[in-house]
Amino acid sequence: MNVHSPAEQTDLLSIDALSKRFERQPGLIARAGALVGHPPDRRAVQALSDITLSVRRGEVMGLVGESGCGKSTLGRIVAGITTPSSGAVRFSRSGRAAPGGAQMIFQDPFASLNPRKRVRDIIGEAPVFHGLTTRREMTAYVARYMELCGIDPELQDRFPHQFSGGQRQRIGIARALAVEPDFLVCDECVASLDVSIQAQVLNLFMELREKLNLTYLFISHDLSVIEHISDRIAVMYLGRIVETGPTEELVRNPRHPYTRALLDEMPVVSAAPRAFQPIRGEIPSPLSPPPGCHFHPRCPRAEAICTTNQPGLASVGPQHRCACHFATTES
Amino acid sequence: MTLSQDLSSEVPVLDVRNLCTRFFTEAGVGKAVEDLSLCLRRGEILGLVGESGSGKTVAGFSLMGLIDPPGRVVSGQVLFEGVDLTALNERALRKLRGNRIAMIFQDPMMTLNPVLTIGTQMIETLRAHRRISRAEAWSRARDGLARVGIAAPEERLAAYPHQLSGGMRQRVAIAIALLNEPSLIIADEPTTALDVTIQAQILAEVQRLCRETGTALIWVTHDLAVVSGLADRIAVMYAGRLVEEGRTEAIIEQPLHPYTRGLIASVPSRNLRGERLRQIPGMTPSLMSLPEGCAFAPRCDRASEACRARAPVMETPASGRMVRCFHPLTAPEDRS
Repeated sequence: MNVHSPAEQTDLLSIDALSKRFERQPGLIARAGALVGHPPDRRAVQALSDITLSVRRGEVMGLVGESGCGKSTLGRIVAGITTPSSGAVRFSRSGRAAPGGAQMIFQDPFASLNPRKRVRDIIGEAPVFHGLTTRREMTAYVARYMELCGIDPELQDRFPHQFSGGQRQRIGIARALAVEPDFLVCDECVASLDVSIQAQVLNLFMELREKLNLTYLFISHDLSVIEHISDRIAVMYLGRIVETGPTEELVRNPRHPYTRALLDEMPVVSAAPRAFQPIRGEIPSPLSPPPGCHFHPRCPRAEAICTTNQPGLASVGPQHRCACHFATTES
Repeated sequence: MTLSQDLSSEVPVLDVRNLCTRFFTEAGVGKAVEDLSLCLRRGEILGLVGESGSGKTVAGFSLMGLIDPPGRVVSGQVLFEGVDLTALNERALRKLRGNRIAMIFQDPMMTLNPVLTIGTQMIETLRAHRRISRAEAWSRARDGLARVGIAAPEERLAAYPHQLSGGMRQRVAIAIALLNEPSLIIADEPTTALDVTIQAQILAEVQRLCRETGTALIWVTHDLAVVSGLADRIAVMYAGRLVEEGRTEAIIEQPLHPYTRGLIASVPSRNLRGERLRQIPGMTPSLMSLPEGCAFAPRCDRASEACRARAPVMETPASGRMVRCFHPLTAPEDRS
């Protein structure tokens, strides 16, 4: 186990009461319709509501949830790509701030690399811009990061299409690392890879963390990946964090029915046919989430209170918090 | 699973013998499927597992006779209930597809017609293969939707595909596949695009329906974890060839092929949390330029001169197990 209990228990990232709403801008037809008395569709997607989360220096925070839970939006806000509607994202950096700050590694290594640029420029452009290297020394600089990520530095003149999916993901990682960030947001970055390649890339992430003292926000729909790599886990459902805690504690002692369902239904390599006992129902549309606890229509434990009152995150153990009305009562 | 044992004497639903599919492109000949042999009994679920480029999807398409030029099934037989499908013409194949053999694809948005209602498409499927009235087809379609766990089936029949969620669309695709009570379903990565909780629902339905109807199922997937909980038997493909085949528990507990072992070991849940994952070095070869000998040899820690010189054939070292390897794993200490 390399669960770092870092001597420096400082929070590198703190997210405070963060919310994000996506509102539809009324188009020409909608505005014309408003003139003749058809009110425009005012529904908005509440992608994130009241997210409070902190990540310590050197820690891997795993963010897990299904489609539409807001995990990618949260990742993009942390990386500074999207602005929040309200709330704050703070990085506390003592001493020399990392020039790269927070960098993002994307899901699709085919879409996230410019197909018309050579690998040298893909990796080297940003560090030259930030003054970390010069055009003249770029080749050597890029070679160092390619080697670090396990790509042959001789291949700098190649284009992205000349690489396999796993290698491209390594290029994406090298690009992110080349600006010397101290924080990486990894959004589903092994989801498109084959199992044997996925293992290689996950190992690379763990090596890099040791070598460069990195902090990760690791986003995935795959609980088995999250469970493997994370020190702490936050489970999201429809824009809210429903449970968060240290990996060991959360996996062994899940308190939220949704976390339990995710753990129960996580595909594991088993030698015998399994009896699948899925939770019923579909993930509701974020356009019209159910009132009260968002999970209540699918929850086996739901009672009247769940349909009206939204449970807040409450402490259920050391560092373990859960948003469920029945988190403290044993099932 | 007892079903398959009881009925071991009868004619298999599907008996594939030495099937080869190649793609003749300007860049060369791609050996997408080489020497594929499979056997499937009534009610049996076979997991066909492989990584991208392993030829698993082409294998599934070859069975259905759905390979388009420049691809071609060049040799081998696909015996479906005793009839060789490779010898049938397009007309005869059309009578079988959607009727006796059905297929479920990864993305139901691509396979459902976006401008027709679910009901129209289901009724079409039924009336293409049997003479029944529109009213009877409608009621069968409704029952079909109810069978895969869709609530309010009447309303759904009037809906268009875009009005349904991904999980619901996949249920519809499964309902359509089951409409004519086929004896074989080929499902190509049907839950890959779905969320975990929805995937579990679909798996539960499929498992139940196969047991109930006696339909044989080939579940083509890259995800060993999903299929190990579902399938009676598992066949592992690598670079166009089947490398190992056997009962699920045997494959998982004692893999014989080094590739199978590597595949199982690299799944995160098989590793200690936070430890380095066991990985297979290198990457899958291109089907256009396969190495001489065993295609896995460059990534294999057991490879010898023999492996690099010639390709191993499928052998049967233990009862019911087949493996394509010169140096199969045997004793438990080999599998460390």
